[in-house]
Amino acid sequence: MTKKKYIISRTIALLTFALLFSSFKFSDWEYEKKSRVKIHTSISKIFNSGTYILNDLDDTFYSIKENDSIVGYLAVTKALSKFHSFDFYIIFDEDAKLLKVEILHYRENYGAEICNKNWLKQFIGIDTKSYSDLNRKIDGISGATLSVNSIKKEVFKTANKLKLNYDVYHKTDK
Amino acid sequence: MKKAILTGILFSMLAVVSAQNSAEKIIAGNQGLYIGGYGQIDFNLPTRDGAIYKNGTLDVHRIITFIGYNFNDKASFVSEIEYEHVTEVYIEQAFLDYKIKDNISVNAGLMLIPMGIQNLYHEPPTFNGVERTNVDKYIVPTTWREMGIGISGRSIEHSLNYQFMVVNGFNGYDDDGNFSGKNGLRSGRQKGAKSYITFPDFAARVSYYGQAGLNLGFSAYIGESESKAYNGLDLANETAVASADSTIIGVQMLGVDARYQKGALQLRGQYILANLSNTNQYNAFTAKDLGSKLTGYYAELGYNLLATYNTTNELIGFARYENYNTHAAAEGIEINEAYNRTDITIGLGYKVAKGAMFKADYQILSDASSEGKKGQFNLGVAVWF
Repeated sequence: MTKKKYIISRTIALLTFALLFSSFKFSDWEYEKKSRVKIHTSISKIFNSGTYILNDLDDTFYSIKENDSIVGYLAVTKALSKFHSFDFYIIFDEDAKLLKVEILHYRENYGAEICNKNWLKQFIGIDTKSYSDLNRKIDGISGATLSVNSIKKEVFKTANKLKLNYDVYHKTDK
Repeated sequence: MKKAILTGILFSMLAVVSAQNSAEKIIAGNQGLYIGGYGQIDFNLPTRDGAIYKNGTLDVHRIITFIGYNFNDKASFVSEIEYEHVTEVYIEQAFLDYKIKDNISVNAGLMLIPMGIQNLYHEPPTFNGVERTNVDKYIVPTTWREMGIGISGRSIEHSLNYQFMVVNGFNGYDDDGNFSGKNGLRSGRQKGAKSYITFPDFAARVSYYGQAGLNLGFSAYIGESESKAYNGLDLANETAVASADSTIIGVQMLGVDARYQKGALQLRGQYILANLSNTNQYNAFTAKDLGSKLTGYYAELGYNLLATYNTTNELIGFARYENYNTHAAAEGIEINEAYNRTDITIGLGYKVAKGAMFKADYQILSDASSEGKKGQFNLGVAVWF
């Protein structure tokens, strides 16, 4: 076997292995053009960049990198409405401050009011230290109580998970 | 070399297969059974001229078990089994929902008629006061549910939800008239229990939530009541047909409602108008006193008194003014002023968790026919999970 052929075969094996490995980590939104476009539009608008790189950190988080340094985080997660789950994403800055929350998939009519962008704007910059504080600052929506509570809780949980881990993320993702 | 490539191909095939599976898994991730429920337990104490004059009543008013099953992302079944006053069992909802596209679903089965706020949102912690509003009892006969088929959906871009359905009408006559001046259409509900149909009725609702905190609803219901007098009717017999025609009424109901929340403040209001036709003949045939026009409205102000405290509990003080008139107009009969009723309700609700609430209120109940004011003191437990 020539050296060239050896390199080619190794590369193919490595690539397929990488593909196999990454396929386990692929989540819903990465398959869907609509979701990808939504997330891409938001990130490039918020960070004023078309050249950012998303790096998979764990089940929930991606780092948003530009010129090899982390500028923010993306979380794609889900929560329960009345009896379906809905998918949404959160964009944080590098200090885990909330920059954007948007719904990707809302599966039932009940509580669809939470998809309203004006209502979701209330999450921008919200303090995630105490849940009762966050709960108070985000106005409820009549007729969407369950979904409102569940997105509030999930945002709070996700933000705090990021705060717990982002030192680790900073170190491992250099 | 060959081996490496072969392994490569195998791996890539595996990769594709596993990718599809994990995607399918996630898409089908909503599969499963959901169990929930809500309940309302009441203590009512009637008063007259400020004094107790009757026994109080203690009632497990309603306990509902919600069972939903998501077959996949598109198909789900919703059911609610209701125990009312402990001894009565009903099915409150039972329909299959099939999502054709993101913004259109087909629903079929026993469904809630989309009219006003409380017929659709009747879980006790979602409204103030121990008892449901009387506009939503005497004008909109909550819980109003009938059999049919419909479409529903929403446009998130336009902040709209919509529902449209074709259903059976009220059972207006089965050897006896079911409508009355006092209770309006309430006793005509068929509730999916061997419901029958002569002509289909139509119901629709659009709600708009484009302004943060505001939810506006517009509802309409058009149709005719059903009558068993048409069963086995000889259509050649003009007298028989004419007398059967006297047992049905035309129903046109329109509703506008608004709910608003901002910080500690909650506002809600609703107006319902029902125009009924053929009531003259109906009353003459059945010896009933059904009005030809029913109206009802309420306005409510609520405020969370714990809004500035460091707690997720809520203590909501509220006041509501409500008028409902099942004789706003009548044909061929005298208007009974006793059916023009006004309730003023003042109370408190203490939410100890999002879905659990203690309630207390006092109602001043009056009608246009008498000077005397009755009252009712209510205590209640309201849960939803």
